[in-house]
Amino acid sequence: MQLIKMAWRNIWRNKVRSLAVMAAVFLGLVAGMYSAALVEGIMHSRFENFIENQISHIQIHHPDFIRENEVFQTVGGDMSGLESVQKIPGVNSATVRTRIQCMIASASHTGGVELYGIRPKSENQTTNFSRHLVEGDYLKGEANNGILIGESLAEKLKVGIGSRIVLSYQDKANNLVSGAFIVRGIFNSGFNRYDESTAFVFQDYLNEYLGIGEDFHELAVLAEDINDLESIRPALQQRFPESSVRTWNEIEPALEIMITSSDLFSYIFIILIMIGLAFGLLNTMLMAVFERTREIGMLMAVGMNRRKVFLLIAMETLFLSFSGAAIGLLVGYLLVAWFAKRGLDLSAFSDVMYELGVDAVVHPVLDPNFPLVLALIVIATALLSAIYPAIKALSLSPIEAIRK
Amino acid sequence: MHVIETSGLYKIYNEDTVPVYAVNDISIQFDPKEFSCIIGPSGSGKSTLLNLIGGLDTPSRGTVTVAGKRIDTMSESNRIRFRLEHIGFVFQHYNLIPVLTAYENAAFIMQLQGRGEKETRERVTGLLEQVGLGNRLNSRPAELSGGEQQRVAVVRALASKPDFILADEPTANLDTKAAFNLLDMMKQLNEEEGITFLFSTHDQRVIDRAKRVVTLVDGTLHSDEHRK
Repeated sequence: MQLIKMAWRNIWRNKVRSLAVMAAVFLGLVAGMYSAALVEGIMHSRFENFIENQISHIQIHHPDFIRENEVFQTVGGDMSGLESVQKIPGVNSATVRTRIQCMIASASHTGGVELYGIRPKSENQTTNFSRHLVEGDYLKGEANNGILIGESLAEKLKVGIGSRIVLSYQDKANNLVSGAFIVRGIFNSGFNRYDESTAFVFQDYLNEYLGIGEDFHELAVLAEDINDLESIRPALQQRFPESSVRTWNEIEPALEIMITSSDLFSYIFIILIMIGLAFGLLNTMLMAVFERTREIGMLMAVGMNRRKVFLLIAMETLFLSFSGAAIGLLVGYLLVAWFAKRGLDLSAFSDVMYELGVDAVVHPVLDPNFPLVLALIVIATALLSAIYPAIKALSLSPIEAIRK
Repeated sequence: MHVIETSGLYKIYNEDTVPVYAVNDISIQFDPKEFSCIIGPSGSGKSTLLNLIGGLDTPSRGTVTVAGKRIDTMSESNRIRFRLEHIGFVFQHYNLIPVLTAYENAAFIMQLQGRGEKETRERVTGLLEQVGLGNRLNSRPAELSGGEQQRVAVVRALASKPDFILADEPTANLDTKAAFNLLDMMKQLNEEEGITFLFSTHDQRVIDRAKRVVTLVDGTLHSDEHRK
């Protein structure tokens, strides 16, 4: 208690200096915490968009389709197959897709797109795709030649709702087939590259042109909980023993690396801030030791042992850093919580966000363990910063120190 | 039994190049309840001898026995512990801890020793009242005069009931009145409570009150006068 009291009072001997250090720790932590939460929010947004709009949690393909993308490399099935998947425990929804590469042409432009033949109802349950429509309607009614295209593709093709476009592709027998489609809806998924290279039509309509009956190229599954994918996978594999069953991180390894590296980036950022603060703390404590040479000499002369002298310096450093850190963590947490609820409007950078596949309004996300990890990093930083000043204090000769 | 005993004590600096004998072959004993002072011109070795006796420094040769134990052969950590348990220090510059109150400063060593709170409070409060600081318990050093600060330092030194108190120039920074008050107080503690005091000093006021005056010249024992 005696040491704690002394250490606490000692840090207030030079109020301005101590407050400056505390302010640096406070600002460093608030900035670090908020930026980490923002990066996490951006990654979260991109991940959600990617999962919800594009790949879902699990996909099933013909084993060779992933590499070769041939029309005939289908998974055999019918609606009973889809229904059986939807009944697997842990599966939220599932949909089947026909997926081919084709040429798309309007009066003013021709380009390549990935064409999805979808079942509108199950697709919308799995990808909630209809919410991204910015013009026109979602595919509805009996299978017809309606098509949904991305906003950026529509701009390239210079077409709008009701416009006619022509798609050319190979059928199952490798014959070149062309078909005319009418633009029924224009979507904006939030991811520019996806929007300019993807189009959706009725699966039944497309399959008829391709000559693949009720087969499909892709079965996408959305799980109720992303943590349950490994428990769902065996049931899917059993249902489709000849097919490839892959989870989102196997489909898009880059996405997983991006998420993992964003966590790493956050910690590196925090550690860099802490290294800067460590030098500030070290300097402050060194000055404190030099200013109190005679006092420390007296403490050692009257019988305070080395362990207690070290503890005194370490506690002063801890109090100094943790006073700023406690407020910093609290303010940082509240700031993140406030923006997590309201969202941070980055629509001024909407073009960049669109390119990245991130919503223009980002909701920072804070890992619940992050404040605790930060607190531990602060403690470690304080203790490391205390070592050199404490060694300096311990190296003082009581006789010489008292004479100063 | 002597409370302090040195035998053939030397402290030599630059022994390998140009030796400087700060303390040169001093053999001396001090008994319990003495009120003694070591005097001599600057550089005569007063403070060095006091540091050797107090276990703050180690001799080049010879022995130092305090309360029956050789401290010159003790490890650093044992000497720190020994100082805490057996020796009280009063310094020229008071050396109170500025962030602690008069009471907390005076109780500091007892708390370092791990004494109970009740025992510490009773002993320290009683001593501070005895030296006229009963109404300044909660004052910080900056709020006390030099004389008051030195009285707190003396209470700090003797609160833990050491075998003796070493005081290095305790009156050097005090005005005449404060110096006399301090000396009267220490004399009273010596006579009434049997506390052993050993001073190093230039101050005639201290020398006049000492029962024994040891004079050093160039690190050697020049004279040892016992007074009645």
